[in-house]
Amino acid sequence: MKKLGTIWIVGILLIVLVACGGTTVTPDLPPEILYGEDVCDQCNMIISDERFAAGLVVELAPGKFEHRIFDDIGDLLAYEKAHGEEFTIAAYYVHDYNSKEWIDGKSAYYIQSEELFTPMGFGLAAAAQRLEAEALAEEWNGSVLSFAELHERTMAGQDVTEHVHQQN
Amino acid sequence: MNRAHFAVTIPFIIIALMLPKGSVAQKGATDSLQSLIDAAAAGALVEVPYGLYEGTVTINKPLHLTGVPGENGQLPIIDGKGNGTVLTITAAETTVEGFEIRASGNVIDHEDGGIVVEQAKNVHLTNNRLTDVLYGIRGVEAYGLKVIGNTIHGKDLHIARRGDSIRIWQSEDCLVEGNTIEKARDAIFWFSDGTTVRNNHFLNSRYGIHMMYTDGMTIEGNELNGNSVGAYLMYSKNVMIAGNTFRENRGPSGYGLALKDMDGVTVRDNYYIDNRVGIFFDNAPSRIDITQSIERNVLAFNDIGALMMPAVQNNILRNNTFLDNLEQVGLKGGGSNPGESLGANGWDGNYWSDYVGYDAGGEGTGDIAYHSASLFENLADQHPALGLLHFSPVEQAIDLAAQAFPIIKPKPKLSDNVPRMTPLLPQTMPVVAQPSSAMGWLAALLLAGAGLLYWSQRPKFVPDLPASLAPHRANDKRTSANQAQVPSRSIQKETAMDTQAAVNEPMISVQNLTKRYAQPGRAWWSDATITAVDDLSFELKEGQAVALWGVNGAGKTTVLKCLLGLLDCDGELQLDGTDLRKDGRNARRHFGYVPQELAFHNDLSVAESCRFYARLKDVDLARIPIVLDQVGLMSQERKAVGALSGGMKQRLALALALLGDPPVLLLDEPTSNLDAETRDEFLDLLSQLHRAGKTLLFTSHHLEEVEQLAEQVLILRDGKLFAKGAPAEMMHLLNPKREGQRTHLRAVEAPSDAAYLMTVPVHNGVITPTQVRQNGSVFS
Repeated sequence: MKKLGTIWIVGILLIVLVACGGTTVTPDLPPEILYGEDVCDQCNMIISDERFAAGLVVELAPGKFEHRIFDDIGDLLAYEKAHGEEFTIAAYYVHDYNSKEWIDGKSAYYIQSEELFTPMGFGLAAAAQRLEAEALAEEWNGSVLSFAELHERTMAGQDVTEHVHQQN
Repeated sequence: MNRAHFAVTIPFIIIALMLPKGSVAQKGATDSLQSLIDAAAAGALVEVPYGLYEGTVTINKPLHLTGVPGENGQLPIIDGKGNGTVLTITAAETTVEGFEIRASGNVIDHEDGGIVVEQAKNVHLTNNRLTDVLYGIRGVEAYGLKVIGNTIHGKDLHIARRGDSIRIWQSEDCLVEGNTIEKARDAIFWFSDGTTVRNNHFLNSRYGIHMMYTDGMTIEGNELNGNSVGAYLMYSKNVMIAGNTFRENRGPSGYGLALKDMDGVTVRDNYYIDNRVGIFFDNAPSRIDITQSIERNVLAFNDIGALMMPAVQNNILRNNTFLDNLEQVGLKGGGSNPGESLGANGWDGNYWSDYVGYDAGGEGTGDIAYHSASLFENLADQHPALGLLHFSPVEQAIDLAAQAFPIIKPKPKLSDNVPRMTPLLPQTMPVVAQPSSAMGWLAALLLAGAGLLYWSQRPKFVPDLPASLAPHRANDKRTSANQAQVPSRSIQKETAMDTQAAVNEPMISVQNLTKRYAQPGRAWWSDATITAVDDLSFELKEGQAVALWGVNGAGKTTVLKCLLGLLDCDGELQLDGTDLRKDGRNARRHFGYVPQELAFHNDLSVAESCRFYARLKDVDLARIPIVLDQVGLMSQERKAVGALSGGMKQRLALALALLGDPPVLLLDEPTSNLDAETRDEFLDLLSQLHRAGKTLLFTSHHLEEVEQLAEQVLILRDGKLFAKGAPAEMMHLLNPKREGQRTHLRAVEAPSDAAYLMTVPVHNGVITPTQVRQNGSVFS
């Protein structure tokens, strides 16, 4: 009966293993990304460039939060568009292009440019200040959008979250 | 070259030749190079003598800029001095050939790099060497760009800080051929329809190839080794992926080839070896009216052979070889019904190394279906962290529980109703025109291979290998760089007295080896076992030949299988100080194994068989004529294996074992199937190898083998060491007649790693006892 005992022990260990997974997530903290290691929840690619990395805090059930991470701001929006009905979004996080610091996605300003090469080709970057965003937009021959404008276009199915360089 | 350009270029050639070759006068003379370029007429040929040209350069008119090598073949150097992009080309119909381009800037926001081609058609970049560049070659709206025969070596930065080796963007009908790329971020091909990427080496980067929005692309004959991901292809259609090798791509996701939202893809004749995942499907195809063909690929030794997202459908996988992947096919996330999800794809007609079945009629396909069902695999699909427990008692216990309790027994996640009994080997790729002789040879050698088998090892463990193993890596492409750091034992013997002690250390050490098999027919809760090897200890010194002597069932083969890591066992097993049970995967490359039961692909020629095995083992194809010559098969290299005599097949098996130039040969009853004359010839051959320094451990119950080959004989009885000594001392015990009367369970295990097994062949349509495969074992 030694084997039966082994099975029970293994089963208990597995339950403990699964139960111990995960850390506490709250909406007020951005995700931690291991660059070069973590993969994007939308495209499955490795996240390497913090300038364009983005994150969501999603609420799956009341008080139960999880992070989603992305290699491109466009992938964040594409993910929301595809999975938005599965959860409530508690917070958006993007990086300020210049400082590379996490900033609140809703209050950020977005630069869209065909000259900006981003990991998934959406051509989107973010800045905390409008003046910074305008300077970058001028450098890249792009335009500046607020979160509301960007989000509205995305959810309306306009081409912001399609690739800005979509082929003819 | 456009001959019409010669007339206008002669003055510039003269100017160029007047410049002192390789002299200091060239140093800092960027102006002279830029001036040369500025002074040249559009379309001119400008030959630039060897020298150092510092600073960045721009070509804004059509030119043919050719580097003239120095006396020792050194390329003229354009050194960016760490500022910006070294060479900018904005003019169509421009050629740059034969330069070393180095030291770009380091600002990723500016995309500093070696060469950028902007809004210029039909630019050719050929045989240049780019080193210490953040980005390598960028083409933006560079239609018809040709990047041929270049080497690109990125800056030594963390992978997240590197630039792309090649980035071709908004540029159609480009050709990237015969390049070698190492230590970069990605090679990117976006919005560049009709581009061909052929015969390149993408090494040790993040994404070997990252392709998006590029229809009609061809990716063929490339080697994608040691990257985080081999190739990630997205959002494109009508793409051909053929004849590539995806090896040891083991980054965080570790896909050999990943397909996301790809439609109309043909994937054939590729090798996927030792990746985390051989091939990954994510919404590919994305359209339900499209069916994709995945054919004649070899997926070997990956953690997961093929991995699919739950909604993937309409991929027809046929004539592929699934060989000893930890998990042959997986469903990412597990899903509620893996069988239904994976069943939306076609799985009939593949070879599965874990197939349990038989082929009574000799049609080449199994008479019962292959089913892939494992509760542990299903759990691991849902919780990838459990993959760490593969091959552990946990996996065994979970699958045992699944067998015991039907309520949790998993349904098959896929079935193959006509499983192949033998693999169908990938077809060789045509050898295309090569940019340089060196690259041509390299590519030709790589493309000529078609083959299957053996352990594929990861280089990351190499520095930890014991010193005495180093000389045997001389032909190992992956480890040659480490060779100089690890002096060979034989060299040490000649140069240092203090290494004598090391020489006296055993090459192989077996201590307290015990192997027990489950008692056939026992109840699931029972611990009843049969002990095949019982507390066995022995040692072999370098260059020694030792025979394991005993009747069938004495445990001889089991000892070899334990050394090869094919059987779980108790005890300590070391190869020159390396623990075979902890780092066996790496150490095993230093074993050559000749099994008792030979199973070849009879339709292949001898040379093709060797190429097939060499490809899987990542051995330089130049070794093939050497080993064929060693075993006396050079004159038979074009002969079909099926037409070889038994002795010739035995020689071929030995040749395959010698491909990697292993220091140790393990031979399982090497002459048991040979007639007397052939046996003598084969023993002579083994004696020659022994005299040449090979360490031999062989099983035998033939007196002549022991007398001719062995310096020591270990007599096994019932799995225990009964006696040991020199053959002459043991002669009174080596009595074949008396030993032959002892008959016990014979558990001859067929190889499960196909290093020595394609499959068990059917002879004349009659099933022999060894044709029933069960979990990689053959019972007779």
